[in-house]
Amino acid sequence: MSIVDVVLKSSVLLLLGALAANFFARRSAAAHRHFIWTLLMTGLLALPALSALLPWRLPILPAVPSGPAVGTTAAARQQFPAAEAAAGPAVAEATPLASAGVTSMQPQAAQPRSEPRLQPRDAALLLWIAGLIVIGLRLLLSIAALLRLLRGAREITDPAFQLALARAADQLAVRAPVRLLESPRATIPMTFGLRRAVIVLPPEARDWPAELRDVVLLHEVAHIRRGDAQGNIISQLVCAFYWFHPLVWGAARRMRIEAERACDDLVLRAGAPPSAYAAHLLSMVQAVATSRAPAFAVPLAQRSAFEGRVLAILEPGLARHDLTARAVAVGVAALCAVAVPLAALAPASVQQEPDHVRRSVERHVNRPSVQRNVERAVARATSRVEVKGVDVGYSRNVNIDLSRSAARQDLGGAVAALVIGLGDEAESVREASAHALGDLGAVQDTAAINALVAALRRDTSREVRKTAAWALGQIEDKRAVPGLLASLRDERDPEVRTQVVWALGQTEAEEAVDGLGAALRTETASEIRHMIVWALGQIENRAAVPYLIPVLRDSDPELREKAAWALGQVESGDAVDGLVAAFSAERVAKVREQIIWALGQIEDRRAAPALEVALRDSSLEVRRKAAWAFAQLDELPEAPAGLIAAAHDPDLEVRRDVVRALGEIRGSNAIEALVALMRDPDPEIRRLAAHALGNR
Amino acid sequence: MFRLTAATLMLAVLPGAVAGQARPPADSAALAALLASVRGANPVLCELAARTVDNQSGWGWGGGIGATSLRASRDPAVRPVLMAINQERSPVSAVPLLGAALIDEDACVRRIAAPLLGRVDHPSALTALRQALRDDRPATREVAAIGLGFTGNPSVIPALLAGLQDSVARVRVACALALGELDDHRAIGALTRLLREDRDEDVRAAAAWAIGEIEG
Repeated sequence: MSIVDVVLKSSVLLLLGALAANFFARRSAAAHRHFIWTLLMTGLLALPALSALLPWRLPILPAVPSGPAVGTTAAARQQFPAAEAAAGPAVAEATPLASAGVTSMQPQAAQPRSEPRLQPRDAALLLWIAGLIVIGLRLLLSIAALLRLLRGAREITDPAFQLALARAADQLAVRAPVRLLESPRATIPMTFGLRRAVIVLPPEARDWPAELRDVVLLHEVAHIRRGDAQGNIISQLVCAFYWFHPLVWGAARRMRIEAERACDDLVLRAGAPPSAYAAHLLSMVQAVATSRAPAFAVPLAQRSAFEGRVLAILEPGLARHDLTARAVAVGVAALCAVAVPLAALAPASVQQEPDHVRRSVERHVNRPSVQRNVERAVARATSRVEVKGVDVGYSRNVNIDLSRSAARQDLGGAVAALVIGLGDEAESVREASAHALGDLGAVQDTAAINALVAALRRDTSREVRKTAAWALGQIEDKRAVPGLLASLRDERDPEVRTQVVWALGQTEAEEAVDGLGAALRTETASEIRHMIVWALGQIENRAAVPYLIPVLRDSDPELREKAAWALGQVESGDAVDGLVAAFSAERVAKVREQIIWALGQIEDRRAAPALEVALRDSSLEVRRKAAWAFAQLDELPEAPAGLIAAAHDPDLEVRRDVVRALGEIRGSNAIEALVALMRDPDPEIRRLAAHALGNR
Repeated sequence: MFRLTAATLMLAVLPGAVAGQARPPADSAALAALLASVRGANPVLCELAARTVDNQSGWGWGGGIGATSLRASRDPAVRPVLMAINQERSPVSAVPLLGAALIDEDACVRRIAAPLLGRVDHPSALTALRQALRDDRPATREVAAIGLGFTGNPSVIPALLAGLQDSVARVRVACALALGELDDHRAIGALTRLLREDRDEDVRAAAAWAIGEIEG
């Protein structure tokens, strides 16, 4: 598993966990949130192991160059010198040049390629190990500190303390024995111990009032009951392993805070009065201004996050219930459901291509190009089959390869025959050959593409030309673009032209934008204009904006709608002014809706005034779309008046998106509007408004 | 007159019936009724009927006037026709009937019987079709090839490859199309040769189409 893998997967898991914890933030108890973070940490710890152990792979992550061992590459070069010479057209062209006397190129070519001393991948690994060592040392130091703390410690035998401890253990149903120690080095109460729980109190504890002593012990026993010492160790290990990942440190911090709050909840549920408990905590924090607890221990109080904790203690309506067995089961099941597929994800790279397939391709590289490309396609297909297979053993791999190698040669011959078929005297044969080459779309063969382009440009039958254009669209290879553009300029038959435009859209080639745009300016046939606008939307390049904006004033409302769609696909800020102008002039509601959608796609805040107008639109669909679009816009400093007014829209969906949009805006008037929405007649709106306010 | 009514009705209602859920087990009598109903149909009707039968278990012509009007029909001819079409596989007991239909004098009966025989999941049906592919009559060899294309059985490929050498062009066309239906890589070489070398343009076009089917 590569570093990129680890970062990607752990980030996904962390984000999912953060979403879950956030989802439970308002409605659930701290114990639940802490449980989610604990699950998350366990998942993070298990992820690398699972990735290594799982027998199957889902190859959908981005490919990562795997940095082959230098020796292998060199050996491969020696073994296949011809392969390297013919590997790419550039190299193949350089060879005759060199032999024709361009001597200056020779020394360069003869120089051995210098391998970089340290591959980026190895450097990353070394860096990670260095970090691991540093964090590990820190943990060792903290263990040493803990031992030092224990060395000076002595058992507290005071019956009052023992009695209070027994009472606390009884209240919280802790059966295991607990050691109660006093250490001169301790400044605050803390708990630790993997197998046998230990509570360490500072010497001042002897002078504590009974009430303080009781809540402190209750709190520490609550940690023991919840197993926070163990959770803390998991969290420290995860932080050590993922030290480079800022989200992990954040998660560990959240976990610590939630553990404290869950313990506070247990103390309060055991009957401690909230105000007194908060006051004790406060006195404790003041006393421990500078103290630090060793990393492996769980200290009673830390100054950071203290304010939120006291507020949580004092808030009367807060849920304080404990975890149920069902919640634990659901959580563990959810973790498995997420972590196992996540661990199985693997880069969808050609690196998965088995060696024997690659070698068999390399062996044939100096064959004619038809054959070579066909073989590459077959090799791709073969490797796909093998990667997809869950339980494909070695022997079956070999079988597939053998059965395919015959097919590979046949397919090369078939493509060559179809290319010849394109020149057949009978129209039906030429058309069927073009169609078959389109069906073979995966085989992006140069000879086939050239032959199809030639058929498109020169065939006398419009059916053949049309089918050739269709086939080029199926093949989706950018090498066909110049030929398709030339055909777009010269072709007279409207059906063929439409098919050509479709094919250009299929290739999604930026080079086609200007040609399509020029055709859009001169073209009069409605169907072709529609297709050009669609193709420009497919290509998603901002160069299309100046061609599409004038179409927003076309007399055909469907074409205007399609142009707005295409501009939304392109997602360029260049289109905002044009779209806004078109919106104010637009008479047809469906087109207005599409324009607003496009503005939402572009996310540019300059669209806000137009969206305000759209929120007062007579069409419900336009208003809904405008509310949605507002929520997409880049952060606005203040909530516009139109958005605040739309909070009174009679439509629930509009109000729902208005709440979402307001939730994204920092300004104080957005808060006021959200507070006002807490009185909305609909409970869902009230809940969303509360949620938005809570997330600020 | 009866035959024409039945065939027309079949075309009107079958697509919907095919799309419907009810699939009663067909019997030979129902198949016989189906073949009787298409006897003497004109070429256009026969082609439409053949397509309905060809696409019976697929996605062919679904929807349309459909099952409701069929259930409402009181025509006694409708039910057996419906039963004959409404099945995934023809019964083994129908092999003699369908085999005989392959050499029937009526073109539409031969054409409709071919896919029905191809869909009998039994070696005896394969034997009947292989024999028919060696028949003296080109028309029978042609429908035999069509039927073999519906078997979905790779063991028939050698017979179809041999059929590509047939002296009659329409038989070679049917063999090429059937090989395309069977979607087996072993046929690519022979189809390629056919595309390069056959003197008949329909054969070359069929070969090109079949290559696209197999590799696409």
